[in-house]
Amino acid sequence: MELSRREVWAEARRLVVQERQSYAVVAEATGLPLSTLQKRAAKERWMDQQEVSFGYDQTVKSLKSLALKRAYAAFESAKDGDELLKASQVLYAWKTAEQAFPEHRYTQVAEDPKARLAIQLETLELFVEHLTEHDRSALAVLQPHIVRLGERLEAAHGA
Amino acid sequence: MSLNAFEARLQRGLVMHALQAQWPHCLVEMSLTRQVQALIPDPRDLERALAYLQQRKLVELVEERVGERRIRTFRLTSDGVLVAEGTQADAGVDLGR
Repeated sequence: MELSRREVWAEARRLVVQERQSYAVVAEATGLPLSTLQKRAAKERWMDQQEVSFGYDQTVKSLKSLALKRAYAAFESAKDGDELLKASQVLYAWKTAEQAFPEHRYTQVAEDPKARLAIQLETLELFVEHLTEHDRSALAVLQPHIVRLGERLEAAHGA
Repeated sequence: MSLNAFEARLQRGLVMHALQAQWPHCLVEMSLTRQVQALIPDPRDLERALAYLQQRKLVELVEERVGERRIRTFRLTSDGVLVAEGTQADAGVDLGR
């Protein structure tokens, strides 16, 4: 049975990321042009995903599967409105996990600029809070630098 | 809802995957929590997973006090790297392989 183009590319990615095959071997195995394969792999950073993806996909799939089973069990055992409401919350938790944790995009999630910015800004806020409580003279000295740093962080991440 | 042993092993595996992606650098607790919270929503489960990994000396915790706050960072130990890579096994961790 012939694979669709999408399936061929998925298989190419699997061979590079999970089985760590060379591009030449994968190009020959899949029939994809070597240069096209190399360009797409570089654009999507397949080589960076090798170490992170080893086993990660399966771990995430298993945890999401358990979350879904928990949701089913909650609905099946619900006897009244309150329990149905709780069951719908369990289902919502699974849906959140599905949307928030697409396993094939792990490196993108880990490197998400918005997530990094949120953490960096929160860290800066904690630092300012600490100085406000414990050392206002230091805060006064650092204030122009902190303001500039905050502005640079936001500018760097296109906020 | 009780957490069975199978899920606990997977949760520990997920934490190790998150730390492996940063190694040799450490991961601030805030970042780790955000990365895994969709799949480990109960903070007590994450705390238990980290406690196990520390007891097994697969993960090290560095804790610093900044005023009233504690900043906790986590990093794989050298043994943790071996387990994360699959060179060494730990019966209490499922890395999905």
